[in-house]
Amino acid sequence: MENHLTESHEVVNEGRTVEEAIESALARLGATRDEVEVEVLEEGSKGVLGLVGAKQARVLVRKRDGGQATKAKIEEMLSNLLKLMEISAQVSVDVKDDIHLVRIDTAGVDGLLIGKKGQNLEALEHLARRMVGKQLKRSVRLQIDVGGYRERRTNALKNKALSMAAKVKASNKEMQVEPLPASERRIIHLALANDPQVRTYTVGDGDLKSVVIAPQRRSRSNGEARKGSGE
Amino acid sequence: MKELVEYIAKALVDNPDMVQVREVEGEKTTVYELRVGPGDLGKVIGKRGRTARSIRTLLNAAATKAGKRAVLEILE
Repeated sequence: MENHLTESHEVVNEGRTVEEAIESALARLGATRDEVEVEVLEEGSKGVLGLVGAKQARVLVRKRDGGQATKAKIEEMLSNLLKLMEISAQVSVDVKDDIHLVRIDTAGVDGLLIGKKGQNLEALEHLARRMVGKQLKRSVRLQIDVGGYRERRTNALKNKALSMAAKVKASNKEMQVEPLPASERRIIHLALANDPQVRTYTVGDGDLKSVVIAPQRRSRSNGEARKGSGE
Repeated sequence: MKELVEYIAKALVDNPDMVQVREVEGEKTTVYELRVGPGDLGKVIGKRGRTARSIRTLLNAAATKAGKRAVLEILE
């Protein structure tokens, strides 16, 4: 259980209770509670009458780095990746609410990185998440934008959702949006979440599912209503 | 292009040393054969093949830019 790093950033610690385990881990790290994140590996239990089957609580306590190490890793890996693709680009990372917002600015080849319907950007994002996550041994939340594409796309999807919802209300018939990745389906769901006259649900399989926009009150029940499921 | 596949694959697997990429030049298309260590196949394929598809997508983008065609084959 000893940590062999000269400057330890995380320790696994045991104790009679989770709280005790955290307390002594903090002492070992020389950190305060709000400087760390805690993962409970084993809840621990007192056992019967505190005698039989007592189990130690085990926690992993990790010093938060304020995102600096993660940020540096993201910048390093994406820069290398782009260099190998022979794309000259600037990579910058901002951290907001624990999400790493990556901005890539290329010298005139934004389109190449975005791809048809943003598929190259999706691929880049997926790989970056996997690669950085693997290197840091934990999952990393990151979103990549190239040349303001995400923002334009978000607005376009919102408008599409609203205009389709208007049609659905007028016709009282449900409509299906083209297959989209999860992050973009979310935009459709959110855009219509507060509209009491329509509801949205997801159909399909795989990465690209479709959102269906349906009238809230159905004219007659024909079994169609139960089609599909949530995300 | 070979280095691109290598870099991505090495960053994804448990055993980077076991990653091998062989470049097979064809008339129009270059095939990149990727081999990884035992147990790492799933890492480069991903859930529903998403990771493999992502590598192919980026490889295609890079190849297109270079005016070439590239195919990725993941070998067991």
